[in-house]
Amino acid sequence: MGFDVQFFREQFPFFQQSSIIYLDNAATTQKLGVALDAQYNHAIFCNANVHRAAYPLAVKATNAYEQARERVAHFLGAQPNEIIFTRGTTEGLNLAAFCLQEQFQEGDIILLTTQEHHSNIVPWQQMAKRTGAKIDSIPVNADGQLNMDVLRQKLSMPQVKLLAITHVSNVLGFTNDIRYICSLAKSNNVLTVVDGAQAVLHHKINVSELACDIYTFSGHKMYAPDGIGAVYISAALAEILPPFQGGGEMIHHVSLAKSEFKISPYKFEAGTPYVSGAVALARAIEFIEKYRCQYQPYIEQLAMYAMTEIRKLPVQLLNNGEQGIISFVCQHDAFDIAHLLGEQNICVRAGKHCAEPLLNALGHLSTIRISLAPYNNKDEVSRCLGVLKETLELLSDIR
Amino acid sequence: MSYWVDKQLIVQIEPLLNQLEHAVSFQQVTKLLLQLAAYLPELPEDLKIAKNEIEGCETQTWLAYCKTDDNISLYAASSASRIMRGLLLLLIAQQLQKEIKFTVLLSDSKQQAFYRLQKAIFNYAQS
Repeated sequence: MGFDVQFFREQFPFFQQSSIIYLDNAATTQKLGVALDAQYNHAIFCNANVHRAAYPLAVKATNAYEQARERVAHFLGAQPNEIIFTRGTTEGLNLAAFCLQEQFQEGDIILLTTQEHHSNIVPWQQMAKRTGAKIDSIPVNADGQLNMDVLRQKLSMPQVKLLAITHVSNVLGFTNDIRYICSLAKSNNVLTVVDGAQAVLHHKINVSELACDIYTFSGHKMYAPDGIGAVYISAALAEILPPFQGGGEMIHHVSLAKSEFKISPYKFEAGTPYVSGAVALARAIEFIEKYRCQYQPYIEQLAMYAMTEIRKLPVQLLNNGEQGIISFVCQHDAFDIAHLLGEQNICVRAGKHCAEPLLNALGHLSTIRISLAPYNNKDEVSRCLGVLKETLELLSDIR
Repeated sequence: MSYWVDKQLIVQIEPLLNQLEHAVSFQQVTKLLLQLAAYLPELPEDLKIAKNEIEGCETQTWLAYCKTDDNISLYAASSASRIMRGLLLLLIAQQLQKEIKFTVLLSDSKQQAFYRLQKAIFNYAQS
């Protein structure tokens, strides 16, 4: 069955009241109506604190929360006790870095890649500072793809204890072969932490097949509200990790002298969780699971159309539209381009995209990024590229 | 030529400033800001330092300030963005020549950049 873009678009209230052409979907997506409804309905009709009370409303709220966890677990091919709700990918990565620090000692090496978003760099740097571990990195080739020879070589170094790696690059859309990389890491006893923020919308994820230790993503990049996400921690690893934060919900018993903690996932979820957000995330996941097979070919087609048209313009393309991400540079400042497009209600991203090491490696101060979602259509892409053409002419004409 | 913006330069750009005040579309404003940008002298690399960087701008922007022996304020500025360079020169002109009054048509995003730069210039002037 073909993909009905108009029907898909109608599921997002944003487009009912806005003439904005939104092409910054790698930063955040627009919100799915039924996910917002689920969030609202939970807050209005089902609100009670979870896991604490025996009255029916609280039981209903707890069930809704745990069903959301089951949905996320199913989405990732994991078990519910391996899913911890977070505020998003960044918190998931911080949780990983914090909870893993007891496993590290001076001289151990944490491997990062040059493709990483800052959120998969900074927490590890902070952890390295606390533990005396060192940061080492996998470079990229001239095109921005990972240098696999160096990756293989560094993974075999005995001091390397962990690899933190993105599944899909937020700048270039490249998909790393996480399954192969994780198997390589595993054979060298290296833990793997995967940033799935840009991957979950496009790829079917099965953490058991990927064989990663930790996988994390955000809801706001997959049609769900802001402030909710999840991290998968394999059951074996979760069992030995300490809690992330202290507070209510995550303890069995507390005396003034000491506390006994619950098992995973609860020991990682201190305090009252964002229940309505989790419910909304589950609803967005159901939607994605239903339509992903249909929209993924559509995104590829739309990106191909955009690539064909953009090649006619005086810009230097940095990728081939992978995952609907089109990155390019031109002789003009990226901010000026994005700003002038923005003046005409077209949202694209300019800058370093929170990936300064990658931009440095590619030799660019900033890039312009168009990122497509299934609710975008050919008319929007065409309008964007038409305005881009006029903008480039304007900037070239006035010197 | 000095990299400090002086009153002589303001006289040079006055026709553009006048046109800017009467511009009615964002296209006109943009063209004039780009034209203004060409007049902003390039800031030496040794002044592109953290102390002179304006925080909160989406593109790297610097603003340097000094006072001459006879207590005259001087400003110099730079940005990778030409639109930002135009805005910088507009604001410096306003600061140096108080009689220049602007009611320029600026979009929300330009207005925000304008306020940030205005605040930086104001802070310098107060220092």
